[in-house]
Amino acid sequence: MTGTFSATDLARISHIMFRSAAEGLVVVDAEGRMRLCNPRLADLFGYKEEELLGQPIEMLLPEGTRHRHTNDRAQYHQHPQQRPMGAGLDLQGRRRNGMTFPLEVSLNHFEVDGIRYVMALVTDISKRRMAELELQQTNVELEHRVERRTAELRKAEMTVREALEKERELNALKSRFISLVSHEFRTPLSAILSSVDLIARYSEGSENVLRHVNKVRTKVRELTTMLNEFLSLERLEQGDLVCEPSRFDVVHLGIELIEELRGIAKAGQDLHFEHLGEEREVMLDRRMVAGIMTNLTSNAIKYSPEGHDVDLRTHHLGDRLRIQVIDHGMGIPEADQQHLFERFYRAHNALTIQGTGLGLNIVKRYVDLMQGSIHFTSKEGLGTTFTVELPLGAGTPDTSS
Amino acid sequence: MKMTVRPNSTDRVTDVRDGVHELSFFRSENRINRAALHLKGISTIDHLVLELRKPGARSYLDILRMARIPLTQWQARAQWNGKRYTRTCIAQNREFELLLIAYEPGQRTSIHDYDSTHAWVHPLMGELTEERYELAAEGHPVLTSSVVLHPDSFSYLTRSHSIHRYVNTGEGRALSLNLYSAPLRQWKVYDERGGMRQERVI
Repeated sequence: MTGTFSATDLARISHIMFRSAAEGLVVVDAEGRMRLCNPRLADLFGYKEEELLGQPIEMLLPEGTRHRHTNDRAQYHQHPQQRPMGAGLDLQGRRRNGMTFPLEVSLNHFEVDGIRYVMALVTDISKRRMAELELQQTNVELEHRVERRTAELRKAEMTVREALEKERELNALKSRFISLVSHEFRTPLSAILSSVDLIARYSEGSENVLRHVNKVRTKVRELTTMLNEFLSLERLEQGDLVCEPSRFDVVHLGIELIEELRGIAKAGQDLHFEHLGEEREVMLDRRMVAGIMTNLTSNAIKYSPEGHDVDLRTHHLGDRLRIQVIDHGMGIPEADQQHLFERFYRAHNALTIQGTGLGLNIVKRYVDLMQGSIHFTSKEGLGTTFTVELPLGAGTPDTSS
Repeated sequence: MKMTVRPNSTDRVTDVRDGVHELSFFRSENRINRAALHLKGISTIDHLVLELRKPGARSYLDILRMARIPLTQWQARAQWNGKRYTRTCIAQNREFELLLIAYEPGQRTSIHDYDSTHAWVHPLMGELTEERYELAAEGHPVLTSSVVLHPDSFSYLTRSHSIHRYVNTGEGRALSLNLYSAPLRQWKVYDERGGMRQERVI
């Protein structure tokens, strides 16, 4: 664009631009002698301008590269072409004091009066290279740091693994101990219960004896329940418990259970069982279903005062079995409800009542193992309803035949 | 034996003998005596179940009465448990349910009632005492009768006024055959110690 300026102005501006350019500029003739250079170029290499003019361009290169450069330059003059800055070359310059530094050069050529010249734009990239080096170093350092951290993490992981392994061993030991103790306790407890039954039988209706006998029965049952919960939990923790569906009559199970649970019912507390739905047979893990019903019903009994009935309901819905346990007892405080299925968790209003805090956790695990769902509604002081739904296996038989 | 038979009816007939109540429930209009003639050969459990499952002609009570099944067959099917009395289902369909109840000495059922319209309890072995209860005004059950079941009896229980309990009062094991029609769907266990009942708030 020269339309604005006169030829004289343009020459002046070009001269100013040449002199004040932030990059080094040098014009070299066919023999490689510097014919023109700007102050920046001289400054880059530590010379005065007049010291460079007429000198071969190779004086600005490290000694080891001068010979090759002479050849390259000759070839370039024969087949000149524009070469952008850098262009993949790793170039070095040499200062007057002998120090080398990295530079980038872009080349262009032109002719004046039939004589070809090459113009080079020279940029000192020391700072950039330094930054690159620093970046490389930082990267290397980072890599080392990552390696160090990885090694530390591996070590920490190993430590955790070892600790976990130790904990597992300890847990296994604890579980074996609990299992052993629970089994060993159950036999004498059973013997105590049998003897107490005999005492009751031979007491000829003595109220005092029967009262104490009932007390012993209740306590033995409580202890047996606790032991059973520990044993169930141990089996669950060990992953020993798998779902083993079999076909059974849910009404027979329900009646059997409430007949058994009458032993822990409170004074004036009646137990109801009711089955809804056409079918009675289900394909489920009977032990787990029994565990769920027993746990929920015994809880309902335990957390209801005297004279408050408990309902156990089953409903065959075709594709699933619904179990409901309804009580009119103390209810579960709202703040405790979200934690209710946690292991060893006990609601605040139930802390004075005997219990391990394992029952509902075990129920939840049974339900999960059978891929069912459990939820409850409860109001403190009014009662609680637990609802379990268990998907049924295919092929529930027709009992009409 | 006082008996009234009403063709075309499903009414019950009461037989009071040694304090044991018996009722027969007719499933069709056919007369009991004619039906009974064909059943004298019931000597196996399977045959009994087959007859009970046959639609029509005979009352359940008649079929039960005609059975002459050796005790050993029942004993082979019974399950005994030192901790509690046991219930073994022999047969079941939508019309009836036949259970074998086994009691070790001293074992007893709860004081209970259920929803079946008709139930017959027949002692097969041992000394089985039937206790019947009524509800007091406060809501707890009060004993109204206690009878040792005669070996030939078929004690009848119906949905209303049937709170009861069975106790093995003998020295040895006891076994009973219980037939429910329709099959059980509800079971209510009463607290035998009494105590104040609360009004149920639902």
